[in-house]
Amino acid sequence: MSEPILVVHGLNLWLGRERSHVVRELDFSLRRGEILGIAGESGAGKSQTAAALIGLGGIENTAAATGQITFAGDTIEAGDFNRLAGLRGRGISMVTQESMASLTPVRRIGDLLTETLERVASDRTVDRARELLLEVGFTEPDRILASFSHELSGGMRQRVAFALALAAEPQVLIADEPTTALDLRLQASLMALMSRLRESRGMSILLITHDLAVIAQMADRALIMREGRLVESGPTDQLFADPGDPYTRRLIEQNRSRRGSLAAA
Amino acid sequence: MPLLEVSGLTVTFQASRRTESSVTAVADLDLEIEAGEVVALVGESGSGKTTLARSIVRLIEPTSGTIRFDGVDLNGLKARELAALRSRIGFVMQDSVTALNPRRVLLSSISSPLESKRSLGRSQREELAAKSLERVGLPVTFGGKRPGEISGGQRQRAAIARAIVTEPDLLICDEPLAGLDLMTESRMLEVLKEATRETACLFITHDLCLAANVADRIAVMEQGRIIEEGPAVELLSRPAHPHTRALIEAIPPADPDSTWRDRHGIASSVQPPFDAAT
Repeated sequence: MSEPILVVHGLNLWLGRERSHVVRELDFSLRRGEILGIAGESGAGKSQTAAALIGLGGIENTAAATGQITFAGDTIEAGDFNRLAGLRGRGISMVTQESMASLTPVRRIGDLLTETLERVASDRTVDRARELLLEVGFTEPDRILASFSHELSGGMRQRVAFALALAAEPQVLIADEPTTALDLRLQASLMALMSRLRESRGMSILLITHDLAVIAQMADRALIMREGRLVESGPTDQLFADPGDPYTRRLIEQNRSRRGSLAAA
Repeated sequence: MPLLEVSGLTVTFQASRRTESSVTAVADLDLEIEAGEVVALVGESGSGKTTLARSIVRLIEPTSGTIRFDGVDLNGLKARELAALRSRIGFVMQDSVTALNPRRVLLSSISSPLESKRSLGRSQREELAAKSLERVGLPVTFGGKRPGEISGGQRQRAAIARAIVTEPDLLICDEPLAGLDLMTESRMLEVLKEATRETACLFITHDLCLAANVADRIAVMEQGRIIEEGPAVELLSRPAHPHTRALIEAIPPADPDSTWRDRHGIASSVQPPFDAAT
């Protein structure tokens, strides 16, 4: 069994002026080469947890954070946003639902990639950018390098977001709703991409989504969160076959009944 | 006579002034919706669903073809006649954030479609708006809130409340539930089913599961055309068109399924079994 690359211990997060307690006493670990799914409804604290891991707490309006985050053997206090931010792009990368929306629309993809490469890997080469685009499944990388993000479809933009995340050669990729709101065929191809990256790079992936079907097909283990707390965790097959908590059971059954009308197909 | 009758509808956009190339978003499309019927329009992004919806309410001017609503050809109507017909069509847009005026309180946004009805005074309009809020399961006190003060799911409800306040004969919903978690989605589905019990509905989605849950009939759209349509259950159990089959095949199963994973190139765990305790 491989050792953990990331350990979260006793994480608590308070948000905003009202200091609402959005994550409570959360413990979990992510092993090397593992895909760990975090599922739950909106407001469960999934994304807040992800943001806290890479020091986005200060930006995300976190009033206070307690607990420890250990990455590759190095333990950092959850409230130390600056040190956590140092992990960003140096060991941990993140892809979100609309990652590319946060990037400047006036620069070409090639410039964005080479600049990122220079910043995180001192490797400002177009060749490397081209390799990354091939790795995420583009067959004509040169055309993508010369494009602006608005010229690409949502699915292509999301692939570019993965290429940008890979530029830093991360050991951990946090994927926060990476396929939400995409067409289902695109979703399936991005799921295959993540699975391939895990295999070829031995990367660990923290996959956050409200879609239990995505967790069911992707994750080795899954955590279920509700109102900031960990409800239950376990190997995915086991969790789906025999959920221990009534809330988990309710989520799983709702997910099944949603597909009920397709059972005949 | 169908409530809505779209025939030979074509919408062409000028893609680039530089190259003078154009894109046909909707191509010679026919669609009928009977009174009270719920029809799901399913397709991937770029297939022309939203353009079709917007053309029906003439937010987009069709290039050719006709749209009849309750027997009346919308083409050639005077602005005032068009406005009167439009008040019988409710529209829930994709993005509830932009659908509601951020500076107005909800009661004012929700009652604004009633402003064209001269017979109604302000207090009557607000009374109907409050009733509309109740129908979508929001407390009447929410009428005093602004969109920024409520959650995404609540905003989506408010957008539906606004669309049904005129008691329209046809409700057009463009991806009204996209990105919502399952619990919120199923609550919203109940709200929509309640709202469309006596109202015809064109329900636009990229998600066949959702379509199967709400619709009597499903029409599948690809590259501006309807490639297949039929009763929901039949279409899903015996899809005739390869594109429809591909869309169904892309839906991930609810439970871990190695056959589906293999077919989509998703490797199962490369790890030894994990200890559940840690």
